[in-house]
Amino acid sequence: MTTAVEQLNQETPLPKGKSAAVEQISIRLEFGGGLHLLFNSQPKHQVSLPKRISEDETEAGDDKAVTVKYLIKWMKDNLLSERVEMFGDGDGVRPGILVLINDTDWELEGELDYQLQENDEVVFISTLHGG
Amino acid sequence: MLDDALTLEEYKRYGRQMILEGFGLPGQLKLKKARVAVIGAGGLGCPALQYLVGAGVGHIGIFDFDRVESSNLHRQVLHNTERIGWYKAESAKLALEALNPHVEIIAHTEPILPSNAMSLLGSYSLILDCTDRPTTRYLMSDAAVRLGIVLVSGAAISMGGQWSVYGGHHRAGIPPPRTGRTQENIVEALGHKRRPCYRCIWPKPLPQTGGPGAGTCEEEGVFGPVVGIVGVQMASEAMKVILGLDDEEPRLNLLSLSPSSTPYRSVKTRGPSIKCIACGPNATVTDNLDAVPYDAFCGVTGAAEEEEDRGGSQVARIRVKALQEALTSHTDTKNVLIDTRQETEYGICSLPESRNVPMETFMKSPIKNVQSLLEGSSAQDSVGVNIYFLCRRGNDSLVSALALRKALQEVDPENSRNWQINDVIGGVRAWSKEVDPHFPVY
Repeated sequence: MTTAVEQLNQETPLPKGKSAAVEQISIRLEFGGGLHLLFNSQPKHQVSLPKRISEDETEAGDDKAVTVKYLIKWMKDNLLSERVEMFGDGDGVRPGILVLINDTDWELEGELDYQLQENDEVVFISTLHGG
Repeated sequence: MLDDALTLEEYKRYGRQMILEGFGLPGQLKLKKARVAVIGAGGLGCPALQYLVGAGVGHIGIFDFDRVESSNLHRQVLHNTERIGWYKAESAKLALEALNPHVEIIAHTEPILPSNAMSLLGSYSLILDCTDRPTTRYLMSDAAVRLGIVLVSGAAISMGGQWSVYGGHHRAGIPPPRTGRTQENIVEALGHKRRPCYRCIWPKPLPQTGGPGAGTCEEEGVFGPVVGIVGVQMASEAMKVILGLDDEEPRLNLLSLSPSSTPYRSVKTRGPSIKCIACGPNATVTDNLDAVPYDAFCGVTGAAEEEEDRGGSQVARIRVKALQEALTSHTDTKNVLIDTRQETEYGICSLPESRNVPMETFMKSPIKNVQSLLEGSSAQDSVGVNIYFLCRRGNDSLVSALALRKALQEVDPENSRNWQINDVIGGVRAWSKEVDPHFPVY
């Protein structure tokens, strides 16, 4: 258990210009099927997001609870270490990547509109073809 | 060989599994009657076949047009050194017949194509997709949907794997094969939830533009135990489906043997998609699978030839013999030989004159990378340099060479540095074949 915790990345700070007073929630991320190569080769990350965001889901605010749409945009801006087209497609993720929220297909949870809770785990898995 | 009774030898042979809860004599007879097609007798197929045949699944078709190579043997456990060069289907059949003479095994050495999939698979009730490419995966799923049978699909590469059951109905056993189906023997699926098909979960393949997941075992490497575990799990799923002991809802199973990843997850997935073009209410895929553009859908093209053209007009493409001459000739022009393979591969074998800059690193700042290679040398002015790009087979090196060319054109269109960019055709493979037979091929 301690090993897994030690392996987690340092909490990533909010982008510049955000007030420390913004209430944050902590989210666990994991990448499978080789996708960790797009995120500094780290399979697990722990990140902090604002608990509430603006109506257009682009920044911290007080209009709605933070969503997966915000998370994915945040990841593209702050976490992705390779070209964006290797991961993103529009507001979502590119074909062949499955998103799991707490071990459930995100399609069953509202996809981009799912509202993230403290300590949720979001997993990004690439389809594999080898055999 | 009758399928509705066991011989005394079989009671003894299968006793350890027959006494399990939910198994019994009826379970063993279900296995004995089952007709299972295993597509691919490689890393996934070998362990899957071992357990299916060992357990007494009565009728097995092995489909593989490939032949055994020594580079298969670290993970493809049914083949051996003596049978290098054999068809994998026939090598596997020989090993399996020694394991269990009660099983009927048919080896098919012709490729399964959209044109023949329906007829080749029509007499089976369950397909194990143990193949290694997206086109076949979609073809197997469509064939299973059209034949009204169950698909167990698995994949593994590098240190990770995944598997799932698609098609048919949860906890409803297996349907009779389409060729043997009558009004009377259709399995009563009422009250059983339908499973999604492969296309419901993966409606579009991963773009073939590089990036994680898109590669092959030859390119990315594969850890033997990971395909072993996934193959054995596929056999387990197949037997559980036959026995009616399978999951009650669709699940995708994920395995990672990488340090610091979650080792195993079983996740709940969506059910059948109403938008699915294979199994949805408005499906467009019919029995005529030849009409489905698998190659175009999966982005498979004759890319190699196009690339030869594309690169040839922009950077010089030279053969390994020409590289050898350049490295041994004594001219004033400085040579820089950049090997763009991964560090691990470079560590396996390399040319002494070469410097290693993996493609991903190189692409981030092509000119800077060349410059820093030049700084450590006597040619301080870095003018008039022959730059050679080398990789494993000549693909990544060309991509890197073109990237340098493009970057140079932006900052120095006149090429005042007089950098000559050369890409070595065929990589270190060709070097081993045409220049130095002692250079390892891996």
